[in-house]
Amino acid sequence: MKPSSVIMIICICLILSGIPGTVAIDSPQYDKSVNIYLKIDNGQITAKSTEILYGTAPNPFPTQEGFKGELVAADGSIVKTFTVWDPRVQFGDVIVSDANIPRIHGVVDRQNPVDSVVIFPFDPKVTEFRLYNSAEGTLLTSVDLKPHIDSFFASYPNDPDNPALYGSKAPLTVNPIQTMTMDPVVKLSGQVWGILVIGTGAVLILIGAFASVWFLRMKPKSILIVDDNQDIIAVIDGMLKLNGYVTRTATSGEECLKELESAVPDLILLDIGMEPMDGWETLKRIKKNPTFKGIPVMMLTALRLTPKDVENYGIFIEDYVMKPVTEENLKNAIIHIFARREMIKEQIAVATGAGADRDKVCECARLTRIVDVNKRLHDLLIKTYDLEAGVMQGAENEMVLAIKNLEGTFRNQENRLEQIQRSLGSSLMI
Amino acid sequence: MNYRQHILIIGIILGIGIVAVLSGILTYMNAGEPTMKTPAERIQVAPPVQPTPGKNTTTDISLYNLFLSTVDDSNGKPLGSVSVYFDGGYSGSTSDKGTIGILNISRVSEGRHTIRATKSGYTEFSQTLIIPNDSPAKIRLQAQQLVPVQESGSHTTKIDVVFVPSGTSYNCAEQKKISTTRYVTDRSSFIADVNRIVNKSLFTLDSITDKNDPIPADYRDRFNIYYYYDSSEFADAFSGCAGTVPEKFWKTVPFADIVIILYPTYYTLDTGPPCEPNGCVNPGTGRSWMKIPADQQSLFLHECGHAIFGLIDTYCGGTLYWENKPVPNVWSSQDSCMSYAISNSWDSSACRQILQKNPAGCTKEFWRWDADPDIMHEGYSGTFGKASTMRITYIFNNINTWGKTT
Repeated sequence: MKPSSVIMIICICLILSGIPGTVAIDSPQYDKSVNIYLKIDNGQITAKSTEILYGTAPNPFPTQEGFKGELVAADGSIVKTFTVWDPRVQFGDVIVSDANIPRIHGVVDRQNPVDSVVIFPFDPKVTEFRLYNSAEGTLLTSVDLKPHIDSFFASYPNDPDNPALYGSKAPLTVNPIQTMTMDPVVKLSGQVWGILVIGTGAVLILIGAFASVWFLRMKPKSILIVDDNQDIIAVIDGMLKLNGYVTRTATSGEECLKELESAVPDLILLDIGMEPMDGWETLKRIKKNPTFKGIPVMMLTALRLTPKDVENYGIFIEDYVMKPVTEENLKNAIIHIFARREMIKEQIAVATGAGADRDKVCECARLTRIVDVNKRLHDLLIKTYDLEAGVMQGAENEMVLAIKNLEGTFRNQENRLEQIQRSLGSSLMI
Repeated sequence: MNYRQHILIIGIILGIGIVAVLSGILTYMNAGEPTMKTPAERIQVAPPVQPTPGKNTTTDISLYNLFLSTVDDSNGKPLGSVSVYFDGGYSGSTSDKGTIGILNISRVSEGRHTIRATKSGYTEFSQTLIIPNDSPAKIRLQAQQLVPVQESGSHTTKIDVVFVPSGTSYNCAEQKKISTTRYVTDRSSFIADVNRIVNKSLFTLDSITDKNDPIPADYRDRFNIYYYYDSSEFADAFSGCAGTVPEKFWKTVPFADIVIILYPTYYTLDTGPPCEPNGCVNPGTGRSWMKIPADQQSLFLHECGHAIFGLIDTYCGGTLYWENKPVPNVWSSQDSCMSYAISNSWDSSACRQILQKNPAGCTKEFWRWDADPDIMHEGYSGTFGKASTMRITYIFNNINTWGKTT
């Protein structure tokens, strides 16, 4: 995952956290209806009881026979009039069959006594209900709604229709009308805590993301150990694993080449004294194969390095380590190889980026490696044959001459490298 | 540190980070929401009492937190988004995420209070609580037996029609009320009949009303339609002319503009002595209902003509007549019929007295204009004429008259 993606995700999280924590709240419903229960018996209409209930009143039946209802305000003004069906009367239809021809006839069902309910919406202004005979205009019954209103709002004092609230503009009880269910302080502290936790999480994700990027770049190097001695393989394998390397093993040159077919390692540790294909032959085959020739090879052997070996194979190898080897020496040698490759890679990138000549850059990179390898091999030769620099100058034996010849070659390569480096100038500055 | 250890540490860091961000978001979103961990938590704070004349406002008043939980009565499961009203004032709704169905009402004074809880699909709940004794309180909401078939808008702006199944029918041959188990034992049969009668009758009004001066094109959307099915209690279509509906129904569905008691079928036609009415109406102001057999679609529309639109029968017989002003389909004089016709550019000569030609003998002092076959005349067939259509349109355009002053 790219760091930019991680940052984007964190930003989205932070933006989301900025949206207030809302709870779906439906709009309050304060609809109320006034229910007046009537008893009609032989023309006498009595209001038995009155209830104010929460809920929506039915819509009135438009203009019908029966009675007239009147809603009256405290000042005596009429707020609303409406017709009230005479509840004693129901009417129906009967389908009859006259000689198989259907025909309808009517039925009027008159009941007495009868109970009925008149329902209308609660209106804070209305304090009285009156019922009139539509035809004669005589008052049949009236209901003072005030006691019922008082009784209702005694149970529901915080209802916004409470006339007492209406008048004082303030709640009458110790319980204020609450628009929020949550303590604001508790809510705020919860939100602050939430943001802190989100922030901490975001920082951890950021650290994790950068660590992942770093880790991917620093992923453990894989090393192929090639040696015909299983015991040596086991020792080297243990050393390398202890230092975080991923290892594979091969016990012969042929097996090494097969292993390369399956996966390309970052480094090959190659023994020389193997049968039937020795290490040098294996090296030659590796370097002949275009796919594998770029794999760095370090010779790890009990055989002494000779100037002839350096002359023949020095250009193909990265280092030469003598057995028995200590963990420290092996680790340093490997680190040196990888560091050198990394350094050369960066040099190439910088010089190419600076527009330097590609051929020169490539030659510079190649010579940088060769000169460094030469130096290490030269030091090893001196050490192997116990020839201190001063003593060597006066010596006459073949080994000394061979090394001197090598030194000449090395010097030429160093001079060439210096020459190229000068020509590339500041392009090589990392 | 080897490769695996590296992966493990990075994984742990990323995991903790992701968990922290998610839990932080949850913490933020649920900030301040109550839990049931501290029931009846008593808090001692200075009371925010408004100074009340004549009362000692310096008296120390203890305030409490009232914890409420709302559950479905049928299964005891927590129920979120329940609107809660404390002493009539809206206090919020119970949580619908996190700990579902919880609400904390803070700063509640000691003593008697009223809690009201509402949620769509549930019967309204109201109860008195004594604080602090009754906290925490569990509110058990009962699922409503009312099922919407079509909800187009608020109860005040739509015609609310509610169908209720009847457990009785009538056998005309035997002249007696009979129990019928069709709806009692088969809810789906009732629902199928409701859907059929709505779609094949009520929602075909446009096809049987006047095409030249049509009813509103969106008339279907001017209805809210529900059915109410309580398997423990059914309506009785043959208790009185218009039948009766369980008292519990009226408490549950106070907003119904017209309740339709549906019974499966009327057994045999009336060939001899008069039987019970097939359809009957009680158009009350508050409680308005009618009964109808599910298999009589034209008669259904005829009764709806009475119950919903206030239309008058145009046949001659033992029914009720009056001039249903201001947009009538029956007039109390020929003159008023003719002047109404002229004012609408109709043929005034079509005004005719309500009478019966065969067998003769029935004459009413009322006049009608709509051409036959008029459904208010035939009952079992016909269409709504111009006058009836105009009346239907008038009702559709004046659904809520409560809002209008005299």
